[in-house]
Amino acid sequence: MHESPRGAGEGLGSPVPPFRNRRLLAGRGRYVADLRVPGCLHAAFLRSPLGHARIVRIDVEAARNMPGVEAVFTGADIAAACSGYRGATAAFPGLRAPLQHPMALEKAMWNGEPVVLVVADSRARAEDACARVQVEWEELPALTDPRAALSAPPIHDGLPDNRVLQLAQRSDDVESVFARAAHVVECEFSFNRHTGVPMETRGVLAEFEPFERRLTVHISHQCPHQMQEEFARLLGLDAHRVRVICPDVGGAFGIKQQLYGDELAVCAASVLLGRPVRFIADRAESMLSDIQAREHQVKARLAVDEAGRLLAFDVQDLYAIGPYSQYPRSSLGEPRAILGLCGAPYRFGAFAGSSDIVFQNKGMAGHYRGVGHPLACAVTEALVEEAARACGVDPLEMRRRNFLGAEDFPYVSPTGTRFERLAFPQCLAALERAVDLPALRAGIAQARAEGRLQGVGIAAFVEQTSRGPWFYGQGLQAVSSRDGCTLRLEPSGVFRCISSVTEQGQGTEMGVRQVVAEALGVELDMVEVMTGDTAATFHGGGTWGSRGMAIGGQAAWEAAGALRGEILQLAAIALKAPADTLSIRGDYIVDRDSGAPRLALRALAEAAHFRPYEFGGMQPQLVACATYGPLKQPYRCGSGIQLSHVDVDPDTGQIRLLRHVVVHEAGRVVNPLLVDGQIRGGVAQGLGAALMEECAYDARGRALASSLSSYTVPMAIDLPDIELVHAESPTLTDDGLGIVGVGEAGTVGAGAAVMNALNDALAAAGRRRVYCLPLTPERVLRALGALESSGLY
Amino acid sequence: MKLAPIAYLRPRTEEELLAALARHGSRAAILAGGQSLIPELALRQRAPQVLVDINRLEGAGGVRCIQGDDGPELRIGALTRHDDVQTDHALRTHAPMLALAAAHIGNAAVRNRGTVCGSLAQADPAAEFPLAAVALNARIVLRSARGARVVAADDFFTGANATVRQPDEYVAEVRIACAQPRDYGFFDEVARRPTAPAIVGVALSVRPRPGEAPDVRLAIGGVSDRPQLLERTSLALARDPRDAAALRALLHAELAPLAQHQHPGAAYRLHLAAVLLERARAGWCRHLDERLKT
Amino acid sequence: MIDETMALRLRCSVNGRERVDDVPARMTLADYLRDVVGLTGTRLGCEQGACGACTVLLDGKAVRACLMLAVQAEGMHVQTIEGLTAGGRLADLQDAFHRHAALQCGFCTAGMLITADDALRKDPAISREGVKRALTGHICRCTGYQPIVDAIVEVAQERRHA
Repeated sequence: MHESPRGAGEGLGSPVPPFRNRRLLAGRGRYVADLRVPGCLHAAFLRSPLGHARIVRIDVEAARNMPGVEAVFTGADIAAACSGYRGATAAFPGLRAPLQHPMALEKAMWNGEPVVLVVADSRARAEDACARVQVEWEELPALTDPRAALSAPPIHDGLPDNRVLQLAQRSDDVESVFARAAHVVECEFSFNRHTGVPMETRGVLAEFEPFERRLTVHISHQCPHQMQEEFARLLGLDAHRVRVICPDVGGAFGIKQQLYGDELAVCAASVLLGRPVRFIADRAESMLSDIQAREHQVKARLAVDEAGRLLAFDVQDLYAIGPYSQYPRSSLGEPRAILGLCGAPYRFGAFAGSSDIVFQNKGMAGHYRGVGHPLACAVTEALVEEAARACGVDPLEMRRRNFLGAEDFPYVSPTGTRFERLAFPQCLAALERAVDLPALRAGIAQARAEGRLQGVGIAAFVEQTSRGPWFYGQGLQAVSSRDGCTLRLEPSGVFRCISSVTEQGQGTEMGVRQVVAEALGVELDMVEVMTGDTAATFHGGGTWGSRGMAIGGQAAWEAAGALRGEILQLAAIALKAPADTLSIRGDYIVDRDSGAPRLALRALAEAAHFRPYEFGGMQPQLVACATYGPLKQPYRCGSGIQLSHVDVDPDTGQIRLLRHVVVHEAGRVVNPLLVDGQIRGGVAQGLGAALMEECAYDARGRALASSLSSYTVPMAIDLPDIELVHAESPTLTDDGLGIVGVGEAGTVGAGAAVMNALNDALAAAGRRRVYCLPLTPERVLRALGALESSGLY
Repeated sequence: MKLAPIAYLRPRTEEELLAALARHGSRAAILAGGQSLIPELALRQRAPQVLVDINRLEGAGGVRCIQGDDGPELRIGALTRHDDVQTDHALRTHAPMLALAAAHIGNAAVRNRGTVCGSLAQADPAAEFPLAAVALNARIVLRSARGARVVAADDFFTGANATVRQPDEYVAEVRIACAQPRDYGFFDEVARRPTAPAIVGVALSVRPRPGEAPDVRLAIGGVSDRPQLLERTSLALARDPRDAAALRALLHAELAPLAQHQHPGAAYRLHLAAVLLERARAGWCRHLDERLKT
Repeated sequence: MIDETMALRLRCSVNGRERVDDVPARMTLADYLRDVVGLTGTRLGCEQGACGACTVLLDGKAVRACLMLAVQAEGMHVQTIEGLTAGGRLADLQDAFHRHAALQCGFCTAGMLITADDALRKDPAISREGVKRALTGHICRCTGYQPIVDAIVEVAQERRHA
């Protein structure tokens, strides 16, 4: 890694607000729904109103004749133009991945599955026509209880049961460790199905040009290159004639990462019609059809010795996905994280873990911010706090005794996960500096003496970021872990940067800009960054798993370094001085030691572009490219500790969040303002999931959360100020700038912290704990025994 | 989520309005604030063929204080918005409990459009104005081409989102007896968060009568399918507001048989009703204690 | 029988410009602004009035454009984020939002700004808790709200001192 030139003012580590925000503040964001194309048609879907039903008959005649209707497609019509797909992975050949089609064919398998697609001259008229489609359904029993899944009749004809896969692993001695342990604590968790709710719903604008067989798709998505490959493959098109463009994207959080049948069907419709077709999901269909996550039942045990040292974990997970394994990444992400990261911050000796993954007649399940990490953290940290109570050890002291320390690394956990570095001693030290814990405890004791219910909870968490190629490579899945950057010097002396990582508001473009500016030695506004167009960007991974800066930033750094080298070579020729006596600062080529300006960058650029003969026979390239993907480590781990202080109203059961602290470290920070934004936003989602969000279904598989009134997300008044403490980071030994991803950190630890705080309050009051999310006031009141005493129900 | 095609009328005078309602009856929906109706239409949960927009109705706004047959009363017109309830001087003076109720309603945008009369017509089981209307013994004026009738709030609400209003009628006005200096009003609710829709609410109106026990009206919203006046609990509260345990038991006895099975559950809602009763009772007792001092 | 598909003539003012348009009765004010007038800064987050992203000013009052029909704006004055930006009314809030990174994806931002401005005008002495309360009915999924509240509180102070 070459030295970074300084003196440009703002570069790595600067808390600069993203330049694009000015435009967004003025209402000039251009999301998919804002794009206008002449002759554009509009799509609406008739979706299954039931969780499980055979489609006996579809009559679209009346719909076809409605005003403004261009075409009506059934699942069979679309299947003729579009292959089905299976969310399989070569890494787990036993995973049952039944064939899925973009729209239901013989059976509807979840409430919200697309069944009929209407394309009309306006969305309103498309909906009018949908209302005239007649479908005869034969309702079938819906599988909505994960615990019943393994014994219930299979929902897929052709499969023997409802098992997707079973994962299991076990250390040799684990049972004897549990048998000998001084204390064994056990918890049963019920984690709630929930979803991401980006403010911009999903949307796609597909334009097919039939003579060259070109498909151009504007889509609100995180991974345009993945989608290019998928659309091409599934629609039978040449991949290099498919172009996917992501305009401004209004939040994603993992929800806009995978393939959606409705989006694919709209592309197929455009191919069939040779016309542009637009589909913007409304919120109701988003609530039904967006990826859902984290529905798990977990039974877990922790064995500790007399001194409070952790000995062994035993985790039995039951994971309820939807009716199909999510494509293309499969629905294995969550259980693999729960098993792999159980006990991650700690030293322990043995592990038993299993996961039964089962189908359900509920929404499709896939990745949402944090994937399985929040559950691994919640399970681990709840057990550790229970163990602390059982041993009579202070919860923080319990962590101190068991945290992995610098001397332990590299550490291979009994779960099989290898950690190159974690920073828990540093995080603990930072927590103790930032929070006056004795005063906090004294305050809580005082509150309790006055009859109030208060508690404090801690959650230590690990997030695996910046994944290398093995994760999906071993699955033979076409998901890229690499990204690339092309950097050009324009004649006016400014730089155009084309990066394959993508922007959904987290600040990707700004971060890349800062990396490039720092590496070159120029001002930030001399660099223009473009992302999200597969015709221009290298085939990259885009946004997923907290990797934008670590991977995209690394590619940008290297491209900028290479271009800088050429610029100094050209300057050396122009100035007749050795290249190593020159540098770039702001708009100028300068003398490296004195900083004296020698030549305007613009003048050099103009000469190189328009009068290249002035450079002694050298061919000025004026463009550099670099691609990068992690090859040394399969992931980079960030560490942190979250603390939650709550007050519980014994009358209403409502939990008031008094304080929330996040201690975090993630290696080198490109832009602290953006990192803080990611952590706070992540915490808000983690708290929402723990306290109020739920994708609930009735016994017929009908979604009960179908709007933002019935699905509660946090608002400003629900959240405390989130205090952020940055801990010192141990050096990263990977091949890069030393950046660790941060996008998911806030979500990973927030729910565990607040759950532990509530249970601290309940335990102090001699009440039983709540391990069933969301932690609703009703559940709190039941734990307090308040509802039994009503004597009525 | 686009609305289905619909015809649209915008009557200027009440005569035009009543003629339209007479003509279209149950095919019509009345558009006042629209904060409940438009979402239903967008979801196509309802399919009226005609939308009758009363927002330009002449003389329908405003709050008047007039001398009625039974004493001074406040008359709140069809276009009085939620926001007006908190800012209008006459309302705050003569119906302070209504202003207390309005403080719990929605955000600024909802309050700028939503109407008091519309809220009564919508008859949400947990809504604030229906609950306050019952506790205040409000009278609701329904007008149609056939004439006008005045219905007591107790009789107006017949179930969840159901009232005695006939398709050709509209809620023209709600009348509330002006508060006397010694009246006491209490309103509170438990909601997901401040200004979110109530889960359970309580409205208490106490009107002292010389030489008699006070006239007490205690109503609970969000447990039954309509705001529920608790007559026995009210009588007991009038006789002995200090016996918290007895009052709680009476509330359970009176309210539990009426609890609806919904989400969240009845036991939770009944518990909240008891919590809110206690707040109301304690508020009333504090008020009594302060009166004793003066 | 009434012709359900008849378009109605709407005369209103949008951001100070007089408009005459023929619109279907069922078209919401939000869709009118976006699709007919071409001002897409008013965004659709839910079309149920729950998220606040479609907030505009109608005769100076904050309303949810998805909960009004376009024809209801007859003779009235609509101001959207575009007009309010051009007129400079939101400049101090936009500046503060920028400095505090009170937006990430930007989808909820216009509604937040309009409601924030409305809240500060109604109560210049608004407290931090009051700001949070005023934002009830606005959903942001990106920021966790804290920088939004910080920005608004800062502007409230600035406006008080001005």
